[in-house]
Amino acid sequence: MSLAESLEDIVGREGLEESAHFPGLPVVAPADDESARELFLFAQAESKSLRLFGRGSKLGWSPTPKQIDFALSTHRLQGVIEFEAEDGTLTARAGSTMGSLRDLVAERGLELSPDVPRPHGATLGGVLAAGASGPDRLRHGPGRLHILGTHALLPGGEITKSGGRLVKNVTGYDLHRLYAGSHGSLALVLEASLRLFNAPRERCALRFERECLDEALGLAEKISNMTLAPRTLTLFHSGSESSWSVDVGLAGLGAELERNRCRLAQFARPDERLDGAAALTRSEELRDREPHAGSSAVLHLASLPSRLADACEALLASFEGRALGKITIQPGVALADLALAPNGGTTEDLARRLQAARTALTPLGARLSLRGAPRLAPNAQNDCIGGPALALMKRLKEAYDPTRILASNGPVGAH
Amino acid sequence: MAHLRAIVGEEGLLEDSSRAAPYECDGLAHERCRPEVVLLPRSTLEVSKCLALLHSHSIPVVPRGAGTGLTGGATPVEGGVLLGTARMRRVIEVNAKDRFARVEAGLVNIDLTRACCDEGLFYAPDPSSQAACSLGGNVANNSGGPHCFKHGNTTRHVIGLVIVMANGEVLDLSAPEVDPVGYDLVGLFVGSEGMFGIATEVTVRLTPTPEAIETLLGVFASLDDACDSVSAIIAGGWDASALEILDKLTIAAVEASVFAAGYPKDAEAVLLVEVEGSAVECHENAEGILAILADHGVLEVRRAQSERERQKLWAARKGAYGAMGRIAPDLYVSDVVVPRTKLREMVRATTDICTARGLKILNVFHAGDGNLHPNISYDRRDSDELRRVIEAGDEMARVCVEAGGTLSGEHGIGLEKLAQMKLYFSDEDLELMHTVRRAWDPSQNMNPGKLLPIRACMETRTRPVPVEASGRAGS
Ligand SMILES: Cc1cc2nc3c(=O)[nH]c(=O)nc-3n(C[C@H](O)[C@H](O)[C@H](O)COP(=O)(O)OP(=O)(O)OC[C@H]3O[C@@H](n4cnc5c(N)ncnc54)[C@H](O)[C@@H]3O)c2cc1C
Repeated sequence: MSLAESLEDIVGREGLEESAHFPGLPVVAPADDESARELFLFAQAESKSLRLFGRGSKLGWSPTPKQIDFALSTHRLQGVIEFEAEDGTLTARAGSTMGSLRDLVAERGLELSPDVPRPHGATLGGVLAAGASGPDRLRHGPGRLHILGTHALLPGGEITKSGGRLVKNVTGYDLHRLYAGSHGSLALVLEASLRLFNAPRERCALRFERECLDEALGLAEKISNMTLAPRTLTLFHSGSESSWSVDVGLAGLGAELERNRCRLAQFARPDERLDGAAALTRSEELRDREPHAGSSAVLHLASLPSRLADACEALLASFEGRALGKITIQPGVALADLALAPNGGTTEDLARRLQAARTALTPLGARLSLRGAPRLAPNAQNDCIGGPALALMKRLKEAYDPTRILASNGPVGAH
Repeated sequence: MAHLRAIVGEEGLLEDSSRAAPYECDGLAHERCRPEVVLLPRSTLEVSKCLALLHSHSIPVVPRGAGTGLTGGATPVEGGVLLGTARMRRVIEVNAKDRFARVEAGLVNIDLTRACCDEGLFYAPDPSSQAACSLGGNVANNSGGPHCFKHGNTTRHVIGLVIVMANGEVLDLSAPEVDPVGYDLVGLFVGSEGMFGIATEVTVRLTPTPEAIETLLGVFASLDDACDSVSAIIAGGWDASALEILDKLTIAAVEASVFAAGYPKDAEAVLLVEVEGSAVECHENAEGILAILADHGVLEVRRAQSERERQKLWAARKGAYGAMGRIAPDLYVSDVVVPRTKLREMVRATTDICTARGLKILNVFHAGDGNLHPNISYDRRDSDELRRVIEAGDEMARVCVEAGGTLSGEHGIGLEKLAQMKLYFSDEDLELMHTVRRAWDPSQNMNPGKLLPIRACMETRTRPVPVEASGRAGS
């Protein structure tokens, strides 16, 4: 029996798929937890290695492992398990899209975090496993902090719980924190519970145009120091035009919003102002303006707010002369995404520039990773970890997945 | 012993029984065990050398901060060493621009806010014990506090750690990373109750001091009304930073103590509400909340008119446990969480459990988070009363878990709730936690016998903790 036939036996014809993310490999999409469990047991018994994914939107965030026999998508593991609007919590299955969950909670005046780009193409489990955040991070902090608990399928076939569905809970180790950002290398998250937030009652979006990055960063710094508590603050450069836009999203109760808008207008005149539904649409456009679209890869820079300007300068200097695409900067949380234009240079050139950039960034305490890259060695793509931290991470991987059925190539290295 | 003394110096090693006696227990006072030796190192290097030496002799180690924990997490183990962080209290760095601080783990919680308040910043997690408890203890227990309703427990604020592992190896994760590189070891360590290693340095996020704060005290003729008000405030989407309830007996205890703040003694309950933000934000939120209180039969609302009055109201709330100490020699401080939609029924259920056993229950709790603290005043010398207290504690945990709640919102499991872990987790869940613990500490000598119920097959090398037959009650 071929591998595809064996897999079909478990998930049925409708569960056997193909995916552009995994050309030539069987892709399975189990419809329930039990089939997922059987797939894991099959992989154990047959010494097969599988890669977990949701809808594939963040697969490029860690390099593709070389050794994979098949891929498992959670996209059919959908549905809301419990939505307690009055308690501010939501529990859903991992394959539910962030968009569908967001729409559901919005009906009750709530929102979930992270507000990731293109939420209808991103699954809850995938967002969790990628450790993703959105522009709302400035207000709510990193997405991993809002996961209240998970049910996860272990490589050995056990389904285990961590945390719970309550907003406050310190019972047992926070294993769900380990799954956030683990890129599916430890376990398959089957369901997750999230803390919800009150959606803003009113919104306003302001746009300021600036000639160059320095001016844009200068304005952003002033705004950050004004205790306006903006909801979002994003700098954007289209890659083609010369100017930068600084977008500020304000939200809150009516009088508070008005006061903040006036304070801001006192020292900088916005080039554009949108209110209400138009402001919401603008914030969604900004969120979805992912630099990945149309680019070959994206450089992801993480710094400290006070060193962001220097880190951006060092990064741009290292990539001078190489064609760049869109640049998005979130100065409040010191993150930047810089797209590399397709066919902008050779892989060797990229590896060399990455190395140079890291050398310049390390003294600034900044980190650089490459998402959606052409095939580079994992160490070139991500920051290296060494010493006792790496050894501990390897022991954790070993503890979860001693037979190594879950393929991953995250920063911990090839598994 | 000579080697240990050479590492920590004469002052850093206590072995005679009179000096080691205060370390026999934490806030769970009837769980006691005399440590062989108490070590008080002064630096990460000293901690590392001590642990390496103890590891080579397979000696169990119990980390201790200030010993204010309420679940026996810092109770020594027989034949083991207690390692305290009391001599590691330096503020290493306050970075006002990037809003973080790096401190030694023994620093007392309140001293961190003192160190950064001039910069317009504060450290948000505020356990009621904040004048005594250490940051390392807060990290190990993932501690909360009244204002964690808005700001979240400790884990939301810890962005870096230096950890000394059981074998003495130093894991330096102190850089204030935006996101973890690789697995989130810092996130996993928080709440591990001293079983993964000893935190020697903590990097925390600091929060800007709000422009305005408004403090309200709602007075109620029934505890039910106070609970329902909280459920309605949350369901209504109003942004409070703290929502705390004190019942009649707690009010009486507080008003009879040095913490008296003028809480009305004839009230059945009071609800202490705080809102923070800009002046406009505070005003709008306070007005929304006042309307809800009115809808729920509030008898009277007092607004703190000055910072001094506000501080007084909070000192009374945070001093409640101390005040309860006057009622009876011992206090069992329970800590359970229930869905916030079930506050009224669960407060009633826990009260009924205690009154049915002839016990005196005092409620003071973080209502906004559904985090109940049904506290029982008792005398542990009365063995029958002690038995009833333990039985009530077990029963309260059971009914809360059955109602969709959990065993602890902030105090942790320690020794106190070991047996109850099986109410909440399956054998597979617990087995996985054992496995993760072994990845951190293959020797399993870090704080053995805490948090995870021992199964013979799982922990053959763990030495038993001498638990008195009677069980678990607090002081
Ligand atoms: C009056 C009173 C009020 C309280 N109010 C609150 C409250 O509002 N909210 C709340 O959450 N808690 C509260 N507590 C409980 C207690 O104060 C907290 O759990 C606190 O975090 C314990 O800190 P500690 O330094 O005293 O730790 P300890 O009691 O010494 O230790 C607690 C646990 O942490 C471990 N530990 C200590 N230091 C380290 C370290 N450096 N590295 C690794 N492990 C370590 C110990 O082994 C133990 O398991 C209260 C206690 C009292 C007595």
